Amino acid sequence: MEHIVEKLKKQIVDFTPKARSEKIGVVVTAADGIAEVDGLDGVMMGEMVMFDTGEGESLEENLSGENALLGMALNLEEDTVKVVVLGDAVKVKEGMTVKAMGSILSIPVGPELVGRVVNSLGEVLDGGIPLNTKQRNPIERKAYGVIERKSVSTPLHTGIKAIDGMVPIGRGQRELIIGDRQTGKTVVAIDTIINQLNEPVKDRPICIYVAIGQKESKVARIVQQLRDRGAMDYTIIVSASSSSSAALQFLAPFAGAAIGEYFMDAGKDALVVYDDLSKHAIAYRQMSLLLRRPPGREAYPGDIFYLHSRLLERAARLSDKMGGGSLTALPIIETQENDVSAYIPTNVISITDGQIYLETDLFNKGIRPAINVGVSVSRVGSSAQTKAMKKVAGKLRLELAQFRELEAFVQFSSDLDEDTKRRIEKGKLMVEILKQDKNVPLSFEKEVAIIFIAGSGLFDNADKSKVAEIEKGFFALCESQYAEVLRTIAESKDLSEDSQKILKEAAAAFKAASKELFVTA
Amino acid sequence: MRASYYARALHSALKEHPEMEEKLLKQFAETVKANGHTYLLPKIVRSFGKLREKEEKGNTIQVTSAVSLSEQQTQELLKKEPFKHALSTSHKKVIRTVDSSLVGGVIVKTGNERIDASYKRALLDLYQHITE
Repeated sequence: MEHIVEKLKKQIVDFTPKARSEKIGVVVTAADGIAEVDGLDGVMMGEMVMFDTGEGESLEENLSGENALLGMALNLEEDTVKVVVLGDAVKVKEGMTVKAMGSILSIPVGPELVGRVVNSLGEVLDGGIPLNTKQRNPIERKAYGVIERKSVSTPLHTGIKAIDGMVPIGRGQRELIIGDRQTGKTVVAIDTIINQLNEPVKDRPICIYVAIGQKESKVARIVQQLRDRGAMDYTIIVSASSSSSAALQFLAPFAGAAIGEYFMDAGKDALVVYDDLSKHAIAYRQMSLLLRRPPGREAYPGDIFYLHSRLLERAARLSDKMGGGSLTALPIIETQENDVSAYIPTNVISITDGQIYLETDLFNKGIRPAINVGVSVSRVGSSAQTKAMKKVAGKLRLELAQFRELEAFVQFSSDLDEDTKRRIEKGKLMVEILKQDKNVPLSFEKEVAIIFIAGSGLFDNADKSKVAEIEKGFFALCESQYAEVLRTIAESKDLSEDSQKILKEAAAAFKAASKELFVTA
Repeated sequence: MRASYYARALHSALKEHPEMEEKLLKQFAETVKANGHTYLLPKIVRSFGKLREKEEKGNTIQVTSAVSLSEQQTQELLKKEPFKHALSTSHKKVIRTVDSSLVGGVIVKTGNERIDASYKRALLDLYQHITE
């Protein structure tokens, strides 16, 4: 204890208090989370300000009080400054002193955030110890330029066969997940996060899930899910729930990007999920209308496109000179009645490097994940696929497209030629193979194995109603008796002739042992 | 045309020629009428009032201390650092207030600037420094 006392004594002796000169203003009006402040000469656009809630309070009350009430100067007008309150606006009183902090809003960043749940200002929400980080990153930062970037070429495996096979995502890409409510958009994102457990630790990206305007119960459920699977060891949750102010919901994705940029700048990979940007646009609209900014189409402010473009441009893959890190973004947009031609969806589609389109009809038919592969696209494409996946999934999209064309003839299947019947049966098998339970992402080598076997024709006579059982049984056999081939595929990222031969042997062995799962001609 | 432009012009003219106040006000009313902006007069009056208030605030120094200070003590304090360089010579009126929550020291406010040299601020900073 003595050494602690000595340390404190030294800190007290060495401490030199300094009189502080601060630029101040006075609150003139306060309503709906916006404070109009008279004064604050020379305040910058987006500058952080602090409401002096401690004025008149005793030292004891100041020390025991909650975190300072912050604001952001967003409208610099002729006579006054309009400040968005980032916290409990009820505490703001007319006549309250507001001081400029001299810097743009920033949040604490660093490895200390991993495994934690924080809000848009970096304040902890999980009841754990307060964060003590060495660095703070500005919430808003200019995206890296062209020269500092490198093309996307490393895959980010989602563990979802349909996505990794046909709409592959690379590290540094922006891939939009779009669909109506309750179509599995968040499930795709969460499965991607969970699947990173299948990556070697050195290659595993830090995952950041940004919940914007979501229900607290949903966020709590997601946190528990990730914790149960051990994914919280490399995940950070940034939450601005529906009960948060519009300002905090507006800041949440930028906070997520700032946190991800820390890891990217350190040469690591990071993944950020924005769930969802539709609610983000609504929060920004609310804030802009309260700030009396002129409304445009659908009452959104004129810079709504810029809001999302500057956010998503921060995702990048950096060149080797810059450290080689990456920040992959998975923004989510909720459509109304499958309308992808609405204002916000079209904006974000034009910004991102592709989209994964989830349809209600497919979901209701039992095709889950309900991905419409015809409309879904990844502009990075096979550059973000391993050699193994390229070999097995190359023709998958074409075969499925052909199947969809022929699907209308299914009811006349007895009148069709053998080749057409074969294509239809093959298509049905592929559709069944691509179905996947939620929260059960597959490792990359298993995806390659099953897609290869399905494409090879060995399972063509599978009972379509038992494909899930066949897949499960096949994996169990591979893990117990053919584990070496899976390991080879995982390490080499390729599917050699030898590996193909062994997989075919495994499939044949499985078929022989599970005849009840296959239809004999 | 904005009411604030008229208010600023009048305020500036009165500041430059304070001896011509009555004449300037009469001429101002005629100018506004000639320009057809009589409907702006209520707003001009409000805007002018705000300008005067701002000027008054800029010319006032508020000194808040933990214990009561005499006028002489206050004047001596304002001649020392850091208050000396932060204050301009245009300041005329000094308002003294007492706030025991400061523990000690003073806070000097003028216009849109505040210099906090209170013990409360120093102790809060020390606490933050130790706990960081």
